[in-house]
Amino acid sequence: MMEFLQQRLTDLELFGWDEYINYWFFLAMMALFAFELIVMAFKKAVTWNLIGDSITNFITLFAYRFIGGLIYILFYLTAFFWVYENFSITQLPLTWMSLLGCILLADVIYYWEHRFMHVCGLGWATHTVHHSSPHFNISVAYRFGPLDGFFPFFFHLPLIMLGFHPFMVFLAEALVQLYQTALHTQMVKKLPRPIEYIMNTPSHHRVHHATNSKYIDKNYAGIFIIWDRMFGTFAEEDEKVKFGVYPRINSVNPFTVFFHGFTKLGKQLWEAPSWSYRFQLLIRPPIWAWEQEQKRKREAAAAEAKASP
Amino acid sequence: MNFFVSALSTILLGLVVGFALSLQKAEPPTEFEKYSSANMDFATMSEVGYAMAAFGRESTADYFELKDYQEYVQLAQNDHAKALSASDSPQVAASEAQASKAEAPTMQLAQVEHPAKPKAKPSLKDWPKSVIGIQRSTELINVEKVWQEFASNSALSDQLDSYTVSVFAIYSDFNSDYSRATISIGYDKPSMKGEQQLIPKGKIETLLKPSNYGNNALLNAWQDIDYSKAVKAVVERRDYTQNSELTSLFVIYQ
Ligand SMILES: [Zn+2]
Ligand SMILES: [Zn+2]
Repeated sequence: MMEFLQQRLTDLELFGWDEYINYWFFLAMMALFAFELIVMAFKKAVTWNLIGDSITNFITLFAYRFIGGLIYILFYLTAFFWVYENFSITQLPLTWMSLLGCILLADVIYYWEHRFMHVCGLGWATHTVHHSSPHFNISVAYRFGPLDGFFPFFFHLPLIMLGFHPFMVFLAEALVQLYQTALHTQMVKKLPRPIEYIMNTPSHHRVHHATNSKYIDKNYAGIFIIWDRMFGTFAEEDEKVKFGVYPRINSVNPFTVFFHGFTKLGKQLWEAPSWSYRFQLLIRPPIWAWEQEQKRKREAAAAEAKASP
Repeated sequence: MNFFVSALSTILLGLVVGFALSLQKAEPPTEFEKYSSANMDFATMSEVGYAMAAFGRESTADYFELKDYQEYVQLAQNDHAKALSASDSPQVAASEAQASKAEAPTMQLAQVEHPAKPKAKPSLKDWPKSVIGIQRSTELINVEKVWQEFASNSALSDQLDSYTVSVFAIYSDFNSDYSRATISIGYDKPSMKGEQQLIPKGKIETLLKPSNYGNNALLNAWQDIDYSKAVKAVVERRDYTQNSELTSLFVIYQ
């Protein structure tokens, strides 16, 4: 076992595993999605809105893939290799053992990156797309925003500096992402308790996609839920989940869905009272902007009440 | 406050895991290390990598005829070695020895057909007392000529009956500035007819463990010799099977 873990891999092989796993996993997920649709059809739960929403999900996937592909080739790959060759403190051997370590660290990093996407205005503008569906099935996992592929770069760069080969980081990133994908289902209720305690599960991720107030900004985890337990953002699924995002979007138009985070942010920036407010819109949590708007509305209402007694 | 503690613990975890992994004693590079993505175009890389994951290394090497690719890498390395041979330090001997390998006809026995992980790794225990081959006294910078002479010696190579053979190159009787030495190159086949070349006795230390090395590794290994001790000989060992080639390097002190 130990010998196997220390067996050397080539960078080419890592790259190949990445492609291989991605390809077959996608097929498996499509089969699972088909199964979900069949079950929903039996329950007579298939609506035109669900079908439109699912199609839109896959359209955002292609749009994201296109933008993400450009970012990947132009910027990610080159920068990772450049940093790996010039600024990494060591170069770890390419072994299965290193890959295991890399997955573990990529998972903590996923937690922080995901948390960042939720608490920073710019991050939320892109990540809100993933949360905006009122449905919850495998196709929602493939619902991406325009810049979802951009921020991970900065979060994974420390792994490169720590000495993990770029292809190994890509593979670990992909594995965390794929694990996450499989969680977007309502078919699985709860898994045995030890699993629910350590691993992220469909139940935990349903909580993440909820608009119930006790569930907001909880369960950011990728593979292991322990990070949420450690860092104080865990919530158990104990009341019925209402899926979606505040404010709700009432559209299955792919264009509206894909860009609504940025159109909203753009509108807020345009209407902002000052430059410092604009800056804060980009870095503060979305809830801050909402509170500020409510405050201004209340003040405006009060001023109006004073003006006309 | 809580946020900073958690962020800090994340960084700490990263450093601990990274440090633990850096202590690994990973296996030495295999033949497949040479199939690095470095010189491949993206499409080939993706295709070969995918096949490697799906069907394993050996069938991939067969299917894509990667031996051609490997030969290309080998040739490129030899060119690099020649460029380095400008100086006449003892290290050059190693690089030249390596360079001669590709041109040497007998070495084609060892030309890789199905790259595979070498099975049995030779150890010091299976060293012969002597080998059958040739002995020349030469400038180390010209050691390539001796390798060529050895390789084209059909009287010797015609006696080989198997792909599995070990070749020993023994550098001894160095002059004062290590620019000249006596070099003996021979096969580890005691039954062969030919001149017997004795391997000197002494305190043997390993410079390179059996594996596949590029020229730089071989060159650098000569620098690991402790020249303050009396160097009796430097032994370069090459183990060939039909599928693999392993190089190792040793120094024998007085
Ligand atoms: Zn989220
Ligand atoms: Zn999700």
